[in-house]
Amino acid sequence: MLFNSWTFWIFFALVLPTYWLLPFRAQTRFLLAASYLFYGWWDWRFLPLIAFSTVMDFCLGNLVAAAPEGAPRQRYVQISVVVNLLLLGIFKYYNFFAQEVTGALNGLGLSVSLPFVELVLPVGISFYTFQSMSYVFDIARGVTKPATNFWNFALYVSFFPHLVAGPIMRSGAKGQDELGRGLLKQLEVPRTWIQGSFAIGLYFILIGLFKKVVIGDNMAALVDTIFREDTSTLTGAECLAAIYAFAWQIYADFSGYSSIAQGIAKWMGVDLMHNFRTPYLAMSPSDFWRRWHISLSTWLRDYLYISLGGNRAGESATYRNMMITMVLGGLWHGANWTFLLWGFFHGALLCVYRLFSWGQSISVTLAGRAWRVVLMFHFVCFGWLLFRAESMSQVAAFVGLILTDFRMTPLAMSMLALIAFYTLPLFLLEIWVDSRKDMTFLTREAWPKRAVVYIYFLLMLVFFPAPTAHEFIYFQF
Amino acid sequence: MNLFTSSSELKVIAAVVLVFGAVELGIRAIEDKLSIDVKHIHAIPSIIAGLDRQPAPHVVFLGNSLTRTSIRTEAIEEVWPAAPSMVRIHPDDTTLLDWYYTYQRYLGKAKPRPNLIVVSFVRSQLDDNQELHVDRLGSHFAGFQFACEAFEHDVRETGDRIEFMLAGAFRAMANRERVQYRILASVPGYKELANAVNRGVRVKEGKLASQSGVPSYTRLHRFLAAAGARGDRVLFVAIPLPRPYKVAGELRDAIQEGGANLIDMQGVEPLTRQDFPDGYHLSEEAAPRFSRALGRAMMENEFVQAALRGGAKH
Repeated sequence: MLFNSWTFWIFFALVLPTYWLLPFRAQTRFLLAASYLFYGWWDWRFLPLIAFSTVMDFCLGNLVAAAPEGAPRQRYVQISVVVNLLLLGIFKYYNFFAQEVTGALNGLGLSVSLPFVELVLPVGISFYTFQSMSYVFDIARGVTKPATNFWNFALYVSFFPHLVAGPIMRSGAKGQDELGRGLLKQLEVPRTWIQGSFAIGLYFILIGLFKKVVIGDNMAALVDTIFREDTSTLTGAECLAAIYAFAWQIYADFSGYSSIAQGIAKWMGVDLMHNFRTPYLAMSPSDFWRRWHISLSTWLRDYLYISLGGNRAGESATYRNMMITMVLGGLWHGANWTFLLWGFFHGALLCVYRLFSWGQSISVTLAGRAWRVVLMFHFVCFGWLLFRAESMSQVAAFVGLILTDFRMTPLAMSMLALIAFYTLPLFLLEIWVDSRKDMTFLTREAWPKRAVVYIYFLLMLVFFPAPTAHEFIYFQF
Repeated sequence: MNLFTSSSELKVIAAVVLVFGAVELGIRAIEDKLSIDVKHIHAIPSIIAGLDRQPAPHVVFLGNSLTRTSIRTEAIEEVWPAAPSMVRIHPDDTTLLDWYYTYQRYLGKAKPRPNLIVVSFVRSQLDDNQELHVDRLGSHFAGFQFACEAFEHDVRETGDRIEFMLAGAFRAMANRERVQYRILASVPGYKELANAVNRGVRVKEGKLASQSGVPSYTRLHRFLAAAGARGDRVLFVAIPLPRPYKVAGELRDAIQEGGANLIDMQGVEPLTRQDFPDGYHLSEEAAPRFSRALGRAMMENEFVQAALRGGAKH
């Protein structure tokens, strides 16, 4: 049940009014049932896994809260980490490591064959596992209390708007105010309809659908066309255009999902955090990570980078911690060398900017900001090449062509023109949003401005859907 | 719960509805100018009605752009003394399911009945693995009239059914691909890019289709059953492409079992790659040559002759 499918909107049209007609406690149970139906729609076999994860972390949360500080408490935290990561490891990483280990041992002359396991990756497992773990961590740190009852916690883990591709919401612990209202805290109190919720929800849903259906899927068609070609038939300009297209595809796809999730949650009286804040206007790597997949980057910062010592143990340890955090962040996306390299590249970029103090916030002129944004966008694009490429030889071929054979062919020209056609209006809107430093400012603007933007979104949705609809990219993570 | 807490939001929604109403009216007004294909589809009833004014026997050619570019009735008449009256129906980018509903909707009640329906195809256009164009099925071919049948057999997913109904109700939905194409065609090099993108989509779909194993022909059986019920005779013509393709044995069997006939025109008229300037359709020069060859083949075909005489089906 994809957000960009009619089936989902029929489901939501049934869920929403029923939800608001029910009393508070029944709302929770009803939403939980709806969330499990939503998740089971992909494959009912995934349901026991999420139920297991939920029961385990709820029990561990209570045990952690009841245990004295120190070793007993840490033991329960370790159980949560080991079991959750084991689940992730089995479903997501086992075959990759089995293949790599077998290859390495065979390379050393040892004939070893590890069994290959045919497993379907449960959709969204990385999102709900991380969310569930953060709950136990926060209780162990003493910054939050256990859920008041099991049903609230179960809904916190499986709340359908953000279940399969985030944002990875926190429970609502102390010191997490920058991440907005914690989800568990919101689910534990009666939801009320706040004036303006309809307008904000509508804005999020429309911009999200526009990003996904119009930009994401149309960019996907361009990206797939170039990335599946034999590189000997391509020019550097075509490769670069495909990388630009992928940059917009992944951003529009993922932020579109997050935006729709925010919109539908808003209509149910729940606030989900902003997962993206105009990331392609970032001037440095640290700025980029404050704007891109914020729920994951802050999770990694709070529970990994800081746990490793953060920047408290000297410069060299800071660089090491950054690299470990980013490489593991890359690995979170999946078991592939390209994801690891993507994480490594971003870690290195953060280190280099820190080493030369390039990322420090200084007041810059408009031109100074522009070239920094353009430069950062191209660094990010190189990262996207690593992320999207089928193999490292394809990365090398693309880079080689961009550097040595930059012929502007009609194909490259038309790709660039199409990228501009689809993305330029969104980019201009993002500059506007960024200048106001408020992601929802448009909902408070005069109605004709909103009407113009919404009419544009809807006309594009009607007349410019892609030749083929795609699944959301981040479902596979 | 009061959803509409702000009157300004109501104004936004009203503005959106007004603009969409205007767009719908605008599309209805210029629909025929959007593409020659829409104009042709709208002309189908008058094409069928025109047969009545022509002397019997009557032949209807049914197909897609290959029929439009490859089959020239005047060239057929050159080689066929006492040729039948012929008309062509050729909505672009269509395959068997579209032809089936075109037949049901436009030819189903035609009087007099055509003596012969000639369906021209290439490769796997007659099997069940063809892409569903829900928008056009809902608006042009099946429409509300055949919605129940389409939902029972062909349009099985909820989302597709909704799009089918929307396309049936709103011309803006029905013609959105054409509007998109008209706007994007102004981008230099777009046609080449669209071809490259479509090639990729087709390769992907082809891989999926090939994974599904032996082709099935349930839609073809339905078509032949519907034609048989009305006593109509159907001839299938395999049209040549630059690269020869195999007409599946299962397809030949299905055609024969359905009481229809097949003429494989591949290799009958010598054609080179230069005769296919866009790699798919015949050129202006090659089409009459091919049509004459088709005329001769039809003239010599016993099934065709029996059909034109109004003889019994075999």
